[in-house]
Amino acid sequence: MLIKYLYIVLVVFFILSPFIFILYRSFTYRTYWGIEFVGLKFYSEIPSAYWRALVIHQTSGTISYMVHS
Amino acid sequence: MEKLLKTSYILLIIPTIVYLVLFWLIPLVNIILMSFTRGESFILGQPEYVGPQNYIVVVRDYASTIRNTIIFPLSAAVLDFILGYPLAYLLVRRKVLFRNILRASLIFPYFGDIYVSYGLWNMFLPGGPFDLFFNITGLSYRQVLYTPYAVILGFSIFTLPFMVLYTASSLSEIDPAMEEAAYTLGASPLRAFYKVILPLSAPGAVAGFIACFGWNLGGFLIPLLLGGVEASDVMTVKIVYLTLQLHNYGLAATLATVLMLMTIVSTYLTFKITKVAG
Repeated sequence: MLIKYLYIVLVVFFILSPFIFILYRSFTYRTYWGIEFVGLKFYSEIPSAYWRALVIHQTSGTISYMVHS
Repeated sequence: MEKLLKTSYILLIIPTIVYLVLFWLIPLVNIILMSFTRGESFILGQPEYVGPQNYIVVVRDYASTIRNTIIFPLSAAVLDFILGYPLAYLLVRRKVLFRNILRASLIFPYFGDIYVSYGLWNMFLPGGPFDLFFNITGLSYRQVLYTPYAVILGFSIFTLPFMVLYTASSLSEIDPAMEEAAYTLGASPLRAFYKVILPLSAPGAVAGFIACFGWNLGGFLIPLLLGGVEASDVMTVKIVYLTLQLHNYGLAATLATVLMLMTIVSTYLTFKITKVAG
């Protein structure tokens, strides 16, 4: 019985470990000295980062268009 | 009335046919045609046909790439079989608490190989959960990450659900009375497993094995992130490298055609074995 559940837990952990670790890493920041816990910092940055990326794409696209034409 | 039905069936199927011709058949024919041309001549609109020269180059210069492309998924499929078959057996034939949650957890790798590769990559890096393991064994993370072992591990996590689901569907079709009959006739649990369950579930396990192999043949991100320089020598990575950096579309198309043939053969075998099992 114990072996059965131990095996199941191990295999399921084997499958889920990358996802669990990605979730953990999304709350941290890697520096040269180690891993720093930053809480929800990256989650709060998603909207502004998204808009920034969009603006950069649009601007670079417009400049590229102007240069080529 | 019958004629009207027939016409409506044809009208219903037309969008699918158009879609397949536009986005599957034409690109496929293009890739095959491109595989017989030199460099980027096909893309530039002046195809320079060189016959089977690209195929000769692939066989001569990319033998190790083809070997890796076969060996990594094959090893991952073996690992999947070793880990997946007992899990499928426990989920189907034994009473397990939270069975549905366990089954649901199997869908995670379907989200994509980017999560598997990025997650494993971070796990192996210093500061990850494998630090303790590396400290105890005296290994460096570089002895695991960027090696074929990391690629095989990534592949096996990515395709383990296939093995479990194929085997579980095959196991669930076996009448429990057959196992009970074996026990009644005096067989030990081990003997009943080897003589009854294993042969009857073999087609599902083989289909799962081939599905794992076929799915990993086209794996790109896992060898790229976990394989480093040495173990990312697989066909998908080479195709991207040849296309985006060397602009040798002809050779890239040849590798793609060979890879496609390998995938078609493994998919055909999966269907054939699943049909036999059904």
